[in-house]
Amino acid sequence: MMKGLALGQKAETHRTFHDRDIREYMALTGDINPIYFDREEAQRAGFEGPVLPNPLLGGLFSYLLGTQLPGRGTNYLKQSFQFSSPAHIEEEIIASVVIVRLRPEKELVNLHTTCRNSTGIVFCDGEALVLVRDLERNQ
Amino acid sequence: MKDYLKPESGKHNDKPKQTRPEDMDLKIGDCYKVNTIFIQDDFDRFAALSGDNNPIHTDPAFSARSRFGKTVAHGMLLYSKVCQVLGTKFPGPGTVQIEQDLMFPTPTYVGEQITIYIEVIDYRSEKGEAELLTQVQRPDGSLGLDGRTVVQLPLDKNSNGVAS
Repeated sequence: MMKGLALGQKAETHRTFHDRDIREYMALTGDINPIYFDREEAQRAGFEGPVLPNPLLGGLFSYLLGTQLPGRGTNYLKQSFQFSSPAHIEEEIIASVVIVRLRPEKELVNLHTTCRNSTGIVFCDGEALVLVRDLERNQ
Repeated sequence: MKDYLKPESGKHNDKPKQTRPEDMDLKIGDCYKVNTIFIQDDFDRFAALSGDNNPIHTDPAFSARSRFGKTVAHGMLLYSKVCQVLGTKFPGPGTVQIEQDLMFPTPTYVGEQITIYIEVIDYRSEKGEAELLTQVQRPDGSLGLDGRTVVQLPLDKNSNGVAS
C-alpha cells in the first residue's frame, strides 16, 4: 500500500469522439494527416476508412491518470503504445488503467493501459509510468 | 545537416513550408525539425478535448504556487505535435504509427520555444517501415519528450511501394 494505491486497482472511462472533436484536434495541433478525414487516403494506408488520431487515445490515459488513478498531482513520466487496430469516430472507446507495479521507495507506479471497444477489439495496449510524490489525496 | 532539412523559423500558428522533396526515400540519419510555442489557450483547449483539466496545465495561479512556477504542457499535447510532423511533413501524409514509446523527462512550460525533432534510426524498405527518434527539445537543451516510434510509411515515401 502506498498513498492508498494497491496492485490491481483499476480506473476506466468510456468516450465517443465526434466529427467536431477531430476538427478541434486538427485545428489545435496542426496534425492534419489525411488518414483522419479522407476515406481514399485512409484506404491507401490500409484502413477501411478514416481513423482516430492516436494522441486522442493517449489523452484518455492522461485524463484517467491525472484525475482518477492515481489522481491529481500525478506526474506522467512514460507511456508506451502498441497500436493494433484503428479506432473510429462515433465508436465507443473504453480506456482503462490498472496498477501492475508499485515502488514505494521511489514513489513510482506502473499501470497497464489499454483502449478497446465494447466487443473487445483492442486499439492500443501499453504501459504508463507515473511519479506520485505530489499526489493530492491522502489515504 | 542537409539544406532541405534545415529548421524552419517557428512562430505560433506559422504554417511551416514543405522543405523535403516529395519523391525522396528515407535514409538512416535523415532528420526534420520545426519550432513551436504553446500559449495557455492551447493547454486549455487540450484540457477540454481530453478531459485532463489538471490545474498544473490550466490554472496559472495554482501553477505559480507549485514547484513548477508556470503551467506545463500535457504530455499528450507534446505527442500531438510529434504526430503533426510525422503525418504532415516527415515522413508525411499517410504515415501510420505502429508503436510509440514516450518519456517526459522535464516539464515543457507555457510560452517557451520548443523544437520538434524527428530522425530516422532504421529504415526497413522491404516492410515499408521506419523507426524514428521523436523528441521535443527545450531552450536549455533538455528534453520535454523523448521517445521512438515505428511507422508504416506512405506509399510515395517507400521505393518498394509496400503499404503494409
